[in-house]
Amino acid sequence: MADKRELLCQAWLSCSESLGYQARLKLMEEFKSASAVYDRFSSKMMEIVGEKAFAELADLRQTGLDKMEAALNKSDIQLCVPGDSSYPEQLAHIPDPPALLFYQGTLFRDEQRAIAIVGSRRETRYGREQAYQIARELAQNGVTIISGLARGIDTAAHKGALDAGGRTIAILGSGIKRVYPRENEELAAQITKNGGAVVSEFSPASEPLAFHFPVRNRLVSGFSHGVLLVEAREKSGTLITVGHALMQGREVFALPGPVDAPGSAVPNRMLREGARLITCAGDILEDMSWGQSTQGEQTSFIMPDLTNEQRRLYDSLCDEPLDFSELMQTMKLQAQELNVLLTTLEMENLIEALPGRMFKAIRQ
Amino acid sequence: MLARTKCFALIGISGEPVTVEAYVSSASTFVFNIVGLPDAAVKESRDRVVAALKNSGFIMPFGHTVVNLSPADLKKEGTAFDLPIAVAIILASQQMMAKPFHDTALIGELALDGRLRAVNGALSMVISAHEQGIRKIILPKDNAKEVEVVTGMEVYPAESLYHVVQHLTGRDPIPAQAQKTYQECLNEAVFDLDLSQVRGQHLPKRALEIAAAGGHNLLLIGVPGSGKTMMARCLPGILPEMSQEEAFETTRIHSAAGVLKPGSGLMTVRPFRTPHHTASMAALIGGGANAKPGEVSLAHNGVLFLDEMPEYPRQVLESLRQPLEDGVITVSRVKVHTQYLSRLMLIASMNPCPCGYFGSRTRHCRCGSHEIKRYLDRISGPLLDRIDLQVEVDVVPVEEIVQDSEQESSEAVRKRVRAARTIQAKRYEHLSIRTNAEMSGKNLEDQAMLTKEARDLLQNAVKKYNLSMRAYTRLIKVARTIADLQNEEKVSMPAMAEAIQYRMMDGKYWGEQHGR
Repeated sequence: MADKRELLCQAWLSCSESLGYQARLKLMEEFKSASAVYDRFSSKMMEIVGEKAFAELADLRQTGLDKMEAALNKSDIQLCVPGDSSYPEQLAHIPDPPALLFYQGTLFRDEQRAIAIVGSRRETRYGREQAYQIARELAQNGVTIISGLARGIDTAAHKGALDAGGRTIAILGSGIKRVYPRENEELAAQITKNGGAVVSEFSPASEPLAFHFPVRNRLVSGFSHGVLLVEAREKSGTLITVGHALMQGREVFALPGPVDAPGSAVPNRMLREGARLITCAGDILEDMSWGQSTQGEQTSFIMPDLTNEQRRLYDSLCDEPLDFSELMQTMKLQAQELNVLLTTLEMENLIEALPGRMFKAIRQ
Repeated sequence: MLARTKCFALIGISGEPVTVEAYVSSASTFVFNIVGLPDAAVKESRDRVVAALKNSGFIMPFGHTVVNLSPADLKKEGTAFDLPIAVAIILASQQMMAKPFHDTALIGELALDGRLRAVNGALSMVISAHEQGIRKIILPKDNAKEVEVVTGMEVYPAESLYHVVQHLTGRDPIPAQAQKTYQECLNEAVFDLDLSQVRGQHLPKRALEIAAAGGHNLLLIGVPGSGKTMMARCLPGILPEMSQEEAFETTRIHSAAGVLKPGSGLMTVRPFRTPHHTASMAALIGGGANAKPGEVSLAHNGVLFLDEMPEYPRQVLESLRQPLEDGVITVSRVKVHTQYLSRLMLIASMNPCPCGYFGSRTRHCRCGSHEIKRYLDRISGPLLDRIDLQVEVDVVPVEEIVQDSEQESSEAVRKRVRAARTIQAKRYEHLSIRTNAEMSGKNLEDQAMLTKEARDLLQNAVKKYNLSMRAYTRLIKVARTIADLQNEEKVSMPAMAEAIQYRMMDGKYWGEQHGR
């Protein structure tokens, strides 16, 4: 296990935005430890790391390790390197594991069950609902939900896990103190508070630069045992995550969707190419041999007494959602009469209103 | 020699009496001055008057001519002074012999050939003249129709300066215009769109009817091309007819703002104003150096339609709050403070999301939920507070357009609306309000008279949809109107159940939770 000073020296290296992965490997090869690099820092290194990174490192070295440590402590940011008790075992085995992780919250060396849920930032209602539901149910069964804290599917997955009181890990493409998107700062705080973690391999103040995200994506799959793709359009960044998952030997799951929905184009293609088809959390548990899904708070449902008209309306919505004018036609009712019926059924939790004046029956 | 004529200056939308004094004296040089705080348009009247005099067979007296507009400390603007100035000069230079006409006021703009052109604010001036005890008025022919309903006035529509002089000398008197009753004007009202032309759209139509019946503001949400604008345009046709008082109020504002077409009569159709979303704040609520009335005042007693509401700058939308609340707007400028009436119905339309196709069945929406939220957030809660009804408008499929042949006319709907309004007027007799939309305060529930079942349903809905206090009061108001349309004394459960369907923005779009 690395000592405190070595960790801080590693952090020092991570803080240089221009220090590449290969250059860093070379440095370690030559000097064996980050503290050695720090101590014997000289202009000779310029050949290995390049001019820009050298200047950055020299600058940062001026600040001193003490100040850096104080700043990290102040924001409750912890560090871990491969081999530490908080560095996930499965992450250490990917082709290019990060030399250092910054994190808030709790990380374990042996994360027993972890599933990444990834997808589009421009999600549809369907995708959002499924991501939320599956994350929620997985979390209820003790699965840690890994995602990227982005808008859309990521957010829904984190929220699902949190609402189940489960553990979830957010892996950022920016620094920990620079949560992106800003509106998810509150969500990040909740994740750490509820036994999860917010993780980044970039220095805490790092900006959400475009090239960070593909790099980050290898960690999303690296942290997990399987990756579930919920929704993605062609050329989506989530494809990179799936690519990493395949390279890292992770299971790839995909949620099917309508064939004409742009958001489901990629998952559907993945399914054709051999990804596991997922319809619910139980499917993942079964595929991963993690046992049966145990339902949370499932209450038995008693159909309330309905009038003939209410029953007819409910039945006509059971097959597929219908919009207001279609309902008017099938029910042969005036607008105001139909409104009354719709409200009473909504109040009984039998139907649900969707955008676009659509109504659907709630599956009991 | 000295001569006087009477006329009126337009201040805001009211006429102020002004006496035009002309003094002509012989001198060796030609001097012609207008004093008494004239603005640029009044100063230019000098040149118009000189040309018009010459082209009407008179001469501009050579020598010293001073025209004073009294009271001299009142700012005068506009072109209505041309005629009184010209006549005063003709009198002062003794080119005409006429009996004294102190009971006659003159207003009108002169063309260079001596013809009379319409002026802004004629109705206000005539009403003000009547209040001042003046019983005869000569005005341009194009302004005559506008004032034909004013009682107790002899109106002489004149075509040119020459005709005016002929009239005043008694050589060729202009016949006084025949008076019309307000009812006659009402019968001539033409609406540009009838509800029967709208196919399908049963839900929005019903919402329009409720909005009209209770004076509620309405928000139409729907994909592009779903006919939101068309629906809104039908509203003036289903609102109850304006009373004569209302017609006067509205016409005066339009006349003063100069948006009344020359030759048009009293406005009997409620105004429908559609300011573009690039309109400035001054254009919308009134302003400019002279504190002119804005769109909210032009929509007084009528409808203000904001198409694509989120596109309007936020502060412009916020400035609508006072007129919506109080029915008046105070426009304050350094030189002028004016209050304009602005009792209007607000109809707003918007797309459900930036690309417009959120919730559509035919096209896929390209927006992320954060983009939708940001788009909807452009309309602030306090403004949304004042919009009681929200309804979705969807594209009507072609087969429905073809099938749906029997459509109710605006006339039929207007009848029901009128009945509901009568019930409300009776209920609020002793209060300072007229419609359900204006209900407020702690006694809302008592005033609205909910049955127990309606109250229970409302409580359940509040719990289920997590409704705010403001949504709660909106539901009560709308339910009250629905009950009035049904002629129910108390608000029944079905009325409340229907009202609950018009609260889109509180649930589906507005407070939408991720994953729920």
